Amino acid sequence: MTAVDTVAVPNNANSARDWISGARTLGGTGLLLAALAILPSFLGPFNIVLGAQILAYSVVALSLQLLWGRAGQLSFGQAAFFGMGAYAYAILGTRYELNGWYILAAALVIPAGTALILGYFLFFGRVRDAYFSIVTLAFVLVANQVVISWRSVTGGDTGLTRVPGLVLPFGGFEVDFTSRNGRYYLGLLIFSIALFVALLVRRSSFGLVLEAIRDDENRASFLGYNTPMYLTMAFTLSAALAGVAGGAFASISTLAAPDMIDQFLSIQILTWVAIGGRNYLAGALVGTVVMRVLNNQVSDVLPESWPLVVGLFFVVVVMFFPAGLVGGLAKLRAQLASRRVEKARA
Amino acid sequence: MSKSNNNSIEDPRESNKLGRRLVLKTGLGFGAAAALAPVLAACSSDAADETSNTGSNDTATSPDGTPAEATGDPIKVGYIGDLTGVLAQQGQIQLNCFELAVKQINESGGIGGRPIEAVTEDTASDSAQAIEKSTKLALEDEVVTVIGGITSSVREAALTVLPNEKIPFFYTTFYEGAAAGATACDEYLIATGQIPNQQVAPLVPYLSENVGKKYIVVGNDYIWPRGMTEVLEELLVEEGGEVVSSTYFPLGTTDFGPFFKELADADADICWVTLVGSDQDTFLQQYKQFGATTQIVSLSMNDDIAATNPEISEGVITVQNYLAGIESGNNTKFLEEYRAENGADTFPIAIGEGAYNSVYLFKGAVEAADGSTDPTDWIPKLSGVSFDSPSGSIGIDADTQHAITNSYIGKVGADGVIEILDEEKAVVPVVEGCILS
Amino acid sequence: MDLLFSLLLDGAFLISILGLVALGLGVINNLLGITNMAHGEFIAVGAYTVVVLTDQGLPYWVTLFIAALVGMALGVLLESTLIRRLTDRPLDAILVTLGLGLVMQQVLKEMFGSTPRSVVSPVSGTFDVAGLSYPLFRITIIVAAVAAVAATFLFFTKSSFGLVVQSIFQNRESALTNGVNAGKYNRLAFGIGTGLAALAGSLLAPNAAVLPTMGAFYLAPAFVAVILGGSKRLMGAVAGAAFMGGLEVVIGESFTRTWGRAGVLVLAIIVIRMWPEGLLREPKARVA
Repeated sequence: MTAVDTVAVPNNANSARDWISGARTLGGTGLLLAALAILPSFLGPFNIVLGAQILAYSVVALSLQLLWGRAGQLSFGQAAFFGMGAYAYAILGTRYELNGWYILAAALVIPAGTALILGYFLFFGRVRDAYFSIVTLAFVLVANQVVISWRSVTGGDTGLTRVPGLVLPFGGFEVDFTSRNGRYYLGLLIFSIALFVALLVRRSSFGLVLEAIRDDENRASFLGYNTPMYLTMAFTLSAALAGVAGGAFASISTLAAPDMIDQFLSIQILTWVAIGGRNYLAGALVGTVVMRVLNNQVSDVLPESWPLVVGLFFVVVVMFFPAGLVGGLAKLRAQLASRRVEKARA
Repeated sequence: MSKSNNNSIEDPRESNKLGRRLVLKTGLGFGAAAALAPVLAACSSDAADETSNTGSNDTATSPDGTPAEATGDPIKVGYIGDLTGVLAQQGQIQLNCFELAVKQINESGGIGGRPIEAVTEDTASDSAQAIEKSTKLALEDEVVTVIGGITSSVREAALTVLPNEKIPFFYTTFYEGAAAGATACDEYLIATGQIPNQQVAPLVPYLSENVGKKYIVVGNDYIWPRGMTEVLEELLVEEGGEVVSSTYFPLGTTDFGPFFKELADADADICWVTLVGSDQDTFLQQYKQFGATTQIVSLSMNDDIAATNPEISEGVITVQNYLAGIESGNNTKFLEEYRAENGADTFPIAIGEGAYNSVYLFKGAVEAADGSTDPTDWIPKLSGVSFDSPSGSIGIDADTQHAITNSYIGKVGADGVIEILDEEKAVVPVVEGCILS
Repeated sequence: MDLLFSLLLDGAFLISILGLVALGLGVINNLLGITNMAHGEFIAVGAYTVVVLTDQGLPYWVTLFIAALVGMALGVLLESTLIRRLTDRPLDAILVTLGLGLVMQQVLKEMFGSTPRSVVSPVSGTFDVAGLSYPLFRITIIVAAVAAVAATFLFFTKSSFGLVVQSIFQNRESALTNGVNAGKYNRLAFGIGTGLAALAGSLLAPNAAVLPTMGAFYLAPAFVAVILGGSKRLMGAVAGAAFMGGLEVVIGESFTRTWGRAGVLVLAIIVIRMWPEGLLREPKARVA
């Protein structure tokens, strides 16, 4: 798990060390995915479904982590793209007999296209930071209203139910993700892809430019980078991942509903990333797992007052682990390591 | 209905025929239903004499006559509802009623000697959480049935999970029926709340006679209010009335100011309100401020709201399948025990009574199926069960699996008590094209 | 003619409540550089204070002041225990206040239950303008809100305390390096912000259902209003609220009520995009 952590990538890092760190990341990621792949054998049926949902949610958390942790732009409206993906999937899936790939593609392209237009409109108009956050909040409120009002297509406030599960044809045979385990592996599949994309962004020059923009946009643009374009691309990529997560979520839970496209879910996604650690890729997964499991467990025990416990936990974590749980662990590990070095010296 | 038998079982085939006949004859289900009610009751009572195995007064009594504690393997029953969020109060009352029924049943011999073990889950009015919790109830707790639900979106969410796991869902809230694509006809859905023809149909003739026929509609902008307006308009064709205008506000509206100008211009007899949750309270508050005098008919008014805020609720007419003012021994006992558990000034509401009834209907059906908790065994028995509920004798219509309930028309008095003005017995639910039996 | 009056009055009513909420949010946002996500819960705190005190027989107009003071005291308490540690971490402040909002909402629910409560309007009766009958009480609410906004404005522009605060407004860094005791000002500014929210709640109490969640309806439009108003002028948030409330009433009248709310948000997005210069001069604290 720890190998997936982001360590600040030094600008002119020693190439051998870079290679080792790359191999470690790859190894760690591989181990994590392998562990997740065999996990269902140890889980009861309910936890498999819960796991599938958490994996899909982790992907939308990763998508926000990309935009917020990497590019420094916080979206209050990430659920807008998640919901668009879910509705694209549900509308096409319930109305037409389409190849699964097309449906999945629609769940990716529609949110990404919307984000491309919105991002172009905003970032090239120098809308940034708090202004960007508020615009995304307004955007998700509007998107929610559209979904509720456009009854003939979206099913209004009850949403679309009995959404068929995803079936992906591969040449002659097809992979069916409709069974209970199938749903879990659909979650795992898109999580793996999203993690791969996020790792790629982190290690690419694209990611480095985003970090430069996050740290000082003026400097990055003096250096000749077209910063609005980079931000628009990051926003688009983030929306694409969120859309796929939404599509997968609709397939896993056989439903698309207005509360998958509202400000409350957006805020929840934000909390997952914050609790896990916004600057750490592993933070997206850890935060989502911790918050979803906590939410689930506490609301079982205290169905009438669980928000109190979740709220307090949230306050405590943010107060004492400003870098999130993964950040806290990384810090602890660094402290232990330096103490060991001191001991060795003494 | 013979008084000594609370649970009476009849031949399911007989009841199926009856259900269909009632629907055919009643059309939209008012007027004629009342005339047929005695027939229905008579059938139940005849059948009850044949199968008295369920015993009287819901109790398996031990030889010395005292109720026996249930001792067998527990039967797991799930509750799912809105315990946090905007509808938390209704959810809490629903849960209280559910728990009361479980407690009463467990103290008096359980279901065929087996106690009920209740598992409670909160949906927070959120579809995703409703799916998660329904899945948990089905797969982890392995409950045999689930009772509860308020919002349409939570109902639809629960129905994407539970039928696949072959777990019947008792939905206890009044709702839009088959309007606008809602799921109203599913072999794993049992509704103990009312649908539009049961709520609206008995009310409109009463209003025509006593108030007027010219309506102005204000509701929240979603499926239930719009569905109710459709039903109202259909009924008004027969009545010779009209809806002069209808305005829908988004959920969570805090200012209805613009509506009052329309109201003043409309010169309507009746202001038909289908606002839910706190929007209804806000509306009533502002209605009073604007000094409007048109008669308000609000379909989600209940005793709890009326008693908490009498000054704004006074004069509102409503129709429900349960009102605390029902005068019957059963209701007195129900109120007494509810208040013993939840406090002297508390009120159960229709949604809650529906949950209470659901537990008893479930008990009756399982006992009629010789204790089998397999839904394929007990669901067919449901239509044969009739329960002497706090709101009178109720049963389940075999075709639609919706409750045949009584409708009570009431008006809020100055003290916040809803006085019952009129009642319609055994109103049969109508779900177009739904034949499950 | 009566339509015009009705639009004006409905708009003024909406704007007066939203303006108070946004002003409070703006004071905190601009002075402390943090976004108070628990602002909506302070609205509920104010409203419940009125519910409890009027139940005890206190006159409504007295409870207004007490509600504002309760909101203020609670705000000062939170600032000095939690928010104080977060002024350098504006982002974490968003998250902490978010968590606090959840906790406050739940505490209110445990204390008062979740049946909507109501408060009897202290002023009854209506008056007639151009064939339109309008409640007198609404007019008093609008007047009270305008008075509160004016008082806040005078406090910040006339009092010596307010002038220091203004200097922090203009340039936080230089004011702080000039030896201003930021803690004291932060604490009071936060208290004024939450006090204004509680006051808005207390004005709302006789007009709308009182619930732990009642503030949620105002929070998002108030955020947008603050951003529209910009971070340099204290009254910007009120102007933003006027934009939001006024257009919502007009669009709602022309199309449907539901689209009034959504339409104004779309317009707000366009305004923020079209005039970022006016709004974005020296952006304050970064959100990320």
